[in-house]
Amino acid sequence: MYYLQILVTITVGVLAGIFVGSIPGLTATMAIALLVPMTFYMEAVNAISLLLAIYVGAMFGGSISAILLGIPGTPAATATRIDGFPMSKQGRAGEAINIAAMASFVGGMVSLIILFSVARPLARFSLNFQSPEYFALAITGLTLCISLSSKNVTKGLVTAFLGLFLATIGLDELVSVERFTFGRLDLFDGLPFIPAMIGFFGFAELLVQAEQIMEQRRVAQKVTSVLPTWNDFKAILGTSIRGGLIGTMVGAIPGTGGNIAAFLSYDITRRLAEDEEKDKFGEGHPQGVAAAESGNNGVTGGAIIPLVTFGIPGDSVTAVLLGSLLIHGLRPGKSLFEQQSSLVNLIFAGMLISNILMLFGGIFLSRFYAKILSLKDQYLLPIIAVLSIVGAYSIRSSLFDVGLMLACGVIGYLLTKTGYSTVPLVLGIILGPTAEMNFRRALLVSGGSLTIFFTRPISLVLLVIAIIFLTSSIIQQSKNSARQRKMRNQAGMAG
Amino acid sequence: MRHKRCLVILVVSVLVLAASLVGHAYPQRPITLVCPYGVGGGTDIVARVLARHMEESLGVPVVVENKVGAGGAVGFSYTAQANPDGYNIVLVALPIVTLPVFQDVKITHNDLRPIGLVNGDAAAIIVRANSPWQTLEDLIEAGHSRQLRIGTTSPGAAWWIGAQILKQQTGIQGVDIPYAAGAAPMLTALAGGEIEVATCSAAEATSMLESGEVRILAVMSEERLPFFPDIPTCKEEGYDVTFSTWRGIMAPKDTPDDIAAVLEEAVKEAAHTEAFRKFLYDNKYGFEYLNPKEFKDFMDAQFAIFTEIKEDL
Repeated sequence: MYYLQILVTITVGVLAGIFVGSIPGLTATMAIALLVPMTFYMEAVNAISLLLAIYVGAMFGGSISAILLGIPGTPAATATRIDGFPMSKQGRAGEAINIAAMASFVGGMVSLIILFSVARPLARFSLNFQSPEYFALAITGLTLCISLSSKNVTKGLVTAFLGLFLATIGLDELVSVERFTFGRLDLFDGLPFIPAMIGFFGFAELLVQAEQIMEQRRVAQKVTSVLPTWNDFKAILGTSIRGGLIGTMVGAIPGTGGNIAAFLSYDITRRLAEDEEKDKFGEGHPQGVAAAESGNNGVTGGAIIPLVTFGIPGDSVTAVLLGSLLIHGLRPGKSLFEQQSSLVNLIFAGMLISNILMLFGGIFLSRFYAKILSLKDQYLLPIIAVLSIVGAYSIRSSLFDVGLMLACGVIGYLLTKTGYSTVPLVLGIILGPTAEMNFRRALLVSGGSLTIFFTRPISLVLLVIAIIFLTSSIIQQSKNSARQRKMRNQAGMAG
Repeated sequence: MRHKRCLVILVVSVLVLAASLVGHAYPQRPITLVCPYGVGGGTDIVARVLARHMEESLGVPVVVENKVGAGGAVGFSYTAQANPDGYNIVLVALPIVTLPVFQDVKITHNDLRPIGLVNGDAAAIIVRANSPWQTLEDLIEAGHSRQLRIGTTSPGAAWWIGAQILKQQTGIQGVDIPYAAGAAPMLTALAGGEIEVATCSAAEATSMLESGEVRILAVMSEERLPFFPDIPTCKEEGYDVTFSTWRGIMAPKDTPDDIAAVLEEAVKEAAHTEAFRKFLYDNKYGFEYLNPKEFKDFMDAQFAIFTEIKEDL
């Protein structure tokens, strides 16, 4: 009876997590924050399982709106959008959601196994991540997304720097001086990135589609063949295991989150692909969805590692989880492992069940979610508009954020129309503060010497990776344009 | 006919409602307790537990609402501008006296009415587990001969002030390395060796202490902390270094005296319940209670100290 109760709790949590995560603006953090007061009155085990179930569900749920509407439900689903959204434009939304569910499941399981077996050594290893490493990791994440999100590296760099500029708005946390806030409290904590993200992705896309509404293009969604086969699963298994490993490693480093993990997993998968396959990434490649989703769900187990070992939350969600653990008188750390091992085992079991339920829930829900897209644009676009506005408002109950979202939407629309990708821009906003603050902090530590970034092994390796990725993309680009010129010349001669 | 009946029902119900409100003592409906910090954080937890115990004596629900932003200024301002009817109160913390000093934030503790202080967390001086320093004296000696790398929060925030007081009172030299997100990343940096010493509350350091990654050299309180009976205070070691963060309840400035009195009593009772004190102790939060008068004087004194620190910079 007791276990049945927990099972019901987890089922409710996973489904609620998927649902909330799939609504733009309602992030996993928010879902958990809304439920913490409720879990206050529950038994510890029930409360923690519920929160973990929501976490797992919401991480996957974020991919649903990224795939269907092009608006990542949670920031971590940004990478999923790159291939997921084109897939749904091709009428393969159901397939994309299924792949996301399977990849999330594999990623989650991999991270759970690691959490169960090597939590403490991995947590100790994560202590090697200091300011120089955080800086290097943020820069690597940024160069990855520049090189992969647009065919044109120059344009990617332009939007990435625009994002980095927007990230400077707000309180400079190292010297406590306000920058570009114009005295507004709304901007004191920086540009609110979830409203900005909804604007750049969701509202901008809405404007693009509204323009095309007259053309009456209708994509029939293939909802009939939504049950994935064993072969479908096998096809993404390798990618997903790799994604899960990357996600866990990145998640275990406090304060990094699902974004970098998803992009890292995505880009490595793309680079490992055959040459003729490579071009298909970004245009609806199932492996792209699998890589991104397994990466961000791998973070779930990873982020719990520093939480349960050192009481250090790995991301905003686990920060809230920490609070609810404390409310129940459970202080994470060595004693939690040693004195409360039965509780810890229950937490692991709860996450295991959550992942399984997420897989089935995701596959089951995919057909209903895919149906949403068969709505006529006249109905669908207003719904997206309402979701965008509500999502932007709900973060801080602020009308300022709604205005900001609309402004970002218009800017995003103009950028999209002129061939600039908004992905590097949003990543710039998200990773900008991490990069800048850690760069300056590292210089404070080193007394102003830049060698600190190149004498520490992890930082050096990450920066070398970043440089290689960026230069190889630039070389690729100049090759491509040379080839195009040649072809044009040949065509001209033939004519 | 239909309209008339509706009108009658409306009038009667309004009258009944009015009658039920008039002549009844405060409180009648749920009270909103604004928490200016995020769900799940230390202040939020204290707010929720306190709210639960305040409900017992007030007899109405006390609903915690998180109004987050600008280091707490959003929540403070929200309540300062709210209706002073006793149904709006806020859990304030140290930033109410630091923000106006170190930041361009208009709101001060004088814009709100003190109800009661319920908790105080002394700073602990923390080093890495394998640090060469075993006592506060070792640390100070090292700090006199070279520049230490001292972990702080953002300038003007709690653990930055803790570090400034430590430096001023002991004369140690150091570079401040700020960790904006608070004690958690600061402790990770300490355990990883990026910084050599830091100050934060016992509650925040406990998990890392238990894991054996960090050690406490001394605490910045008047007396030893009940959960660390073996760790000396700075005063015992001969240095007049005290610093705490704290939390208390305030109401809009114009809240009437009779209503404030009810709230004051409820906060006092809640703070002194066995359950609340056990909650504080279990989570290594320090218990402290000040009545409205003492609370006001305390904030005035703190404001003066921080203004002085600011001028010395």
